[in-house]
Amino acid sequence: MKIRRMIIVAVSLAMTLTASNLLTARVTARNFSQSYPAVVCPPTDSTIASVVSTASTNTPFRIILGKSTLLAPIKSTQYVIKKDAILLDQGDVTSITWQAFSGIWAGASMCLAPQGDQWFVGGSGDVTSKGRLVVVNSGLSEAIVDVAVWSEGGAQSGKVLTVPANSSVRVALDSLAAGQVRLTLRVTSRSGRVNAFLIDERKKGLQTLGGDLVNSDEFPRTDFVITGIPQQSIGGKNGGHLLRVLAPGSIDANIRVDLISKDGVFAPVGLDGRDIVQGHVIDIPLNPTINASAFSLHIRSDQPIVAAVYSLLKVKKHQDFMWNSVTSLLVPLTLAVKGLAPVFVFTGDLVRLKVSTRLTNGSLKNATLVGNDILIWKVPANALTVKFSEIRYPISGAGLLSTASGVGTFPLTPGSALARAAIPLSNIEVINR
Amino acid sequence: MSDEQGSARPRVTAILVVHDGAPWLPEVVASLASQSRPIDYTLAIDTGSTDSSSKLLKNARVPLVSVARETGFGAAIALALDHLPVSKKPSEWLWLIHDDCAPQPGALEALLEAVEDRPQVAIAGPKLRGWYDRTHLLEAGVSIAGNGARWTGLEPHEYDQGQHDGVRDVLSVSTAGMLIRRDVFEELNGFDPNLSLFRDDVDLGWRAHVAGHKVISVTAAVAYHAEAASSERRKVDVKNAFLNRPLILDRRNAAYVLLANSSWWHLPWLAIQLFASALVRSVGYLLAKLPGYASDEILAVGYLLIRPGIIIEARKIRRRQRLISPRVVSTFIPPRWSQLRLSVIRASEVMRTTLLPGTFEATGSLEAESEDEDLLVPAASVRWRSILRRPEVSGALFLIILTSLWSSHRYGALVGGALSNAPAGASDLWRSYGESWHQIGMGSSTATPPWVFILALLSTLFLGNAPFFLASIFWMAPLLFMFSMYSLLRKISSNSWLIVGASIGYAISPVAVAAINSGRLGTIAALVLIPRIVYYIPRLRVIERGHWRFIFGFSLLVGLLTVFSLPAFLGITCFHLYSIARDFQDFKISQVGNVLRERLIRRSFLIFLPFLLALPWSFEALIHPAHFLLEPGISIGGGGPNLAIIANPGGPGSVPWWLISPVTVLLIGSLFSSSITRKYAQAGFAFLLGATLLSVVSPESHASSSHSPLWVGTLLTFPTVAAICCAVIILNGLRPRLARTHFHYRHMMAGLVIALTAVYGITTAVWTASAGSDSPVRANQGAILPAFLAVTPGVKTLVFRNLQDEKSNALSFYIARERDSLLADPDMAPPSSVAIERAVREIVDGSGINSSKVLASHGIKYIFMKNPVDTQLVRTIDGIGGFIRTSSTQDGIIWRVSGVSERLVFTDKSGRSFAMPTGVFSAHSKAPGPGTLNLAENYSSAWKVIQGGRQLERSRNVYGLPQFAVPQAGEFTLIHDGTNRRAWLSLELIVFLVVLVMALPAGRRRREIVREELG
Repeated sequence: MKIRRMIIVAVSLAMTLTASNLLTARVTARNFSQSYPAVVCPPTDSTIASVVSTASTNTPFRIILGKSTLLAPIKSTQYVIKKDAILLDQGDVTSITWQAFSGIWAGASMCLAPQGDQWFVGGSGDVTSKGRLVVVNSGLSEAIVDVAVWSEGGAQSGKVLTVPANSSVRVALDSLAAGQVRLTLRVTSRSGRVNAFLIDERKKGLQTLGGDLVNSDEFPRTDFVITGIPQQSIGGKNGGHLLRVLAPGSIDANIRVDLISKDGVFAPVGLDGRDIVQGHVIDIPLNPTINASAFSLHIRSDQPIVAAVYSLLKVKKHQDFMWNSVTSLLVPLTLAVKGLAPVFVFTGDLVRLKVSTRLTNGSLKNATLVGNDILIWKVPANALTVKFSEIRYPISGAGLLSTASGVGTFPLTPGSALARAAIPLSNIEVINR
Repeated sequence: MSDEQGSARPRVTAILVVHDGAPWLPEVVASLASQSRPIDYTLAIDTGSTDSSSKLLKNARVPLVSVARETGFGAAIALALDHLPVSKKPSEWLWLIHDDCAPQPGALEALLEAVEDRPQVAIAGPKLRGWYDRTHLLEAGVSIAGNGARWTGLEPHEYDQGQHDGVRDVLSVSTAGMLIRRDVFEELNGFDPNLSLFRDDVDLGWRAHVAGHKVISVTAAVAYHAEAASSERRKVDVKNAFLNRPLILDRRNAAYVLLANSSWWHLPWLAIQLFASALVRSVGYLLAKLPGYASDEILAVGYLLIRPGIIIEARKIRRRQRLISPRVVSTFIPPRWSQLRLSVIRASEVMRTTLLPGTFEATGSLEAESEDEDLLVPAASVRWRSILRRPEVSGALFLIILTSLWSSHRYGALVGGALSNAPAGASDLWRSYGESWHQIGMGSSTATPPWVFILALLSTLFLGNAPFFLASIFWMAPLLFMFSMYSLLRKISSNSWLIVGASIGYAISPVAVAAINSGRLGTIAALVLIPRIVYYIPRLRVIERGHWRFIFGFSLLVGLLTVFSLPAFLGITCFHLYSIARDFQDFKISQVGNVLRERLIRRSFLIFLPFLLALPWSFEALIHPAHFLLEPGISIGGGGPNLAIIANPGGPGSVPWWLISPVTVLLIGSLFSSSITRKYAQAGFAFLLGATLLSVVSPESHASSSHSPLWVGTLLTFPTVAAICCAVIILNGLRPRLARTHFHYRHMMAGLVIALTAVYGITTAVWTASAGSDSPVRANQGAILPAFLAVTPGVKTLVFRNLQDEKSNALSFYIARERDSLLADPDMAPPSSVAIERAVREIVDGSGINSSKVLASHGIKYIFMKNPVDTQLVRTIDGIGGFIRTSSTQDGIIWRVSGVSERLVFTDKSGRSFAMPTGVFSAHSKAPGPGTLNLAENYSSAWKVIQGGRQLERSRNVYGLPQFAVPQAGEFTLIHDGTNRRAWLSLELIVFLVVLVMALPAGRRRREIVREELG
């Protein structure tokens, strides 16, 4: 009897413990939220045509103006921005804004999620400058923004901008650094949902010198690539380029530049160990003698620097220029390219990636791009979106756009990075010791 | 005797008033005849007696006048005076005698001696003793208290040993044996005809005083009084006796005397006092299940207050008779503190005899010692030493010392763990209990848990200082546990040292330690009450034989536990269901249907009454069944199944796993016993396994979306109690049993259990006094919310904070309303708003472009991130827009939410929004035109806006919050209608009172009290 009782007790104990341990709920299971913050596309002037490509006509959007906070379907895959900046909520698809001053200049920019820190390498504050910095606040509260300026004369006195909620502010470059030729700007938001865009437009009397949208970088780096610099022969000579460099730290930088093209990889003369004085914006002439139509620069520095390449180009019968900014390592991304048909330039020791192109008729075309050093690929004219995936090796890329008005470029970086955060839980313990 | 002597001697006429007085009359007549100072003339007035009184008087040859039955005492005396010859002597005295009052032979002589040299005395009365217990002192003079009570200044059943002897001025003396000068009696127009019975004596004395005379009590004169009318030994059928109920007449007359004789400026206060005391007494009578007496109290005062003409007329008469100020009697009106002191003495006497029966006998050592030693040893010191030698006192002292060390961080206002801040005063708890809307999160109409009522009540007794009360409870908890268990174990064993040791073990059991350290009010209540419940459980087996009063009393006890802990209710209900199953088994064997039906009815009462006592809280748990598993307070997880199986609930503040209590070992060992121990062990083991299985459940509460293992402390209390009972039963007779037998496994088992218990006891005591004192519940911790966020009443702040526990560092949020969480807030917290959760999620992941608008629409003015802050999130909030950083201090960072974030917002037809002024609950303002009113509170059908006498149409806005369509400009009033809450409270009160009245011992009507008890 007692043995039977003993067995019952032992079995019930064992079963209870086993069952309860198996059934134990995952106590620390936390849910995570993944989302793509809505992106902002730059505003425009009445003289400049501005088009944003989107992946779908149902993409929610709103104009950043006044008190309206409601998002509505954009109803077009090529939305024309009339004046004010717009807010797009299209998830992982990155949109490109194409701006063109008809017959004068053109430029491209990514639509970007709010940026806390943006470095713009480009622009001028001299007498030819018609350039401007546009700061957009897509949030519902006033934004306070610091603008720091460097030029050939060193650091300039900066400016603090206050941007009302849901609006934008424009600042002429010549008001930031009057008379200074070589500019580099840093835009930092203290508060608010801020995006900055830099338009470098130049005019000498009645003669237009071209213009471009200068793309930004997030922070100074020591090892980076500037991809997709177009090489053009103007009047039988190779086009001129300027490598603009700033070492914003307190120590002079020493840089080494490798030029990568289909003609090979080499260090241009004078750029293999060039000293950059800290705090001063340096323009280094760059006139490579190559046959390739585009090249890239791989820059290494012992100190963090920011850099971009200015390229003077001839379009039709007029002159235009272009700023190639730093291109980060390529990550999988989808671009909305309706009506743009850009040329993509990829740079890396080994280039291998999958490209999926969705055409406007709905069909999907897949291709695998393989190459060494530099690879150029043109998107079909009727492409709606292009998706880059299965990126095997470290590469960087940029897109080049060319129209009758001018040329433009944009780095291949996602406009909105996937934000992943642990979802906070409602818990009254928060207000209890 | 010469004529001269005879003419100097005062004439005394005795007037004997008779009304169905046959039981007492022979002795009364005999006592009058045997007076040492003979009565000059005796006249009897029979007020329509239906017994043999008339015959008795005629046989005794006492002159008799018969009058109508409804004639009152005063009217009878007046009629007697009409039949008396006109007095020829200047000093003729009337001696008023009741038919149930027998004076001693020397009474009249003593009275006359006392008045002889006191010419100002007009009235004298004897000392009255009980008729049946002749040592029982009834009266030596009488007065009236401010609340109308008859005041004798004596303790109940006071033994007469001459302690009140002497001749003393008094307000009045009883009409039983009253000696009064005839001229004064006639001058005062005798007794007031409105006072046919009761209190006529006090009224006469009062009028005599204000007419310039004195009243004395002469204790050398003694009379024995049966108080037949007031003790309902005979029917009161006098003219003014409404419904023939003596209590109505007594209370009415008491009020009449006070209102007719007091100064006019005393009257309002007296009226209030009379009514209030009548109410209090009514409640007392109701509790004693004497509703007749309760209604008498109210009827008596009401009867008088609705007929003020009688009082006005009486006051006019008294004004004519008055020679001096009515304040002359103030010295005879007992001061309030005297009444209070007497009440306290009576209450303490009742408590002493109830709680410590025979204490003095037990502590006295005189019987044990020899007489010689008694003379040498001072009695007092012997008693104190013997008290200290008592095991329960030693145990209590040990626990006091241990608790003093254990509570080293808990001297002050407590907060932490599952315990929220106590509000500053009991009034806040009362208010919270009564409120229909609670300012918690986005607002809640959830019923306040009934344990708040108990805390409010007890805090009121602690001079309204709720934090002090709470700190005291946590400090005293181990002692309460010990004495609760001690009272149970006394039933099991008479070995005091054993049961005190076991009780201390209970007080430092893993459940007890964890409950105190982590601030579990529900488990603390369970630890105190469950031993008492277990005490009565054996009586539940044959429940049909018990009295219904036990059913209600037991239900009240379980109900008290239920209001603190629904898991405990669940556990006890499981036990009842098990008992019902056994009843059916018994029925299968016995086939006695009546017994089964009676058992089922009673067990149903045992299940449903505690549930009803916890209404409407328990009802809401039916809608959200997970609440049956939750303890009051903040949801802090337990330790899971591997700790639960060793009777350790785990969680913050619990004893570490390596402090293994002997509970499980004891239960398992006792399962193999062949005695009653096995029953305890089976129940305890079942609860242990149940608690282990439940410890893996992670129910979600409204106050917290996080999932943590269920705290099963309350359920583990049952096995802990069972194990300790088993241990005491086993160890009670173990020593002699083991001594008789050879060494075998029982010796080893006993040694193992004792060693395990000793190791656990010592290590736990050391741990609690050292590391264990560093508990989550601590005193005097600062507030979470910065002070300036509490400046505006009701302002909402979204608080972010990293909650660190043993396993994770989780970012959490909650909406604070100008303050930190208060007691019961977690139990009443509303479900988290989906819109706010989404806005918060979007803030955190940086995609919340409209989050500020959503928060503003919910009336959230600020975001506060408590230090240490998440720097990435700070950057996100800074950059997301809609939030303006206003400060960054050592407490944390605060942002102001952009936009109109008021509680009440009016939006006109053009879309413009205006903030409207509002109070904490209601609002009264003016709408500038037609539009919409949005209220930033959770939706409730009790929110109402009234404009121009019409209720405005209510709907839900896009966030599900209430909005009202305003049709036109004009003033409006916003209210939260608390009718439902009041209805629930009324129902709760009715249920409580009914159960309480049914549980209390029934009071006895006066006629049911045996004569010997009356004295």
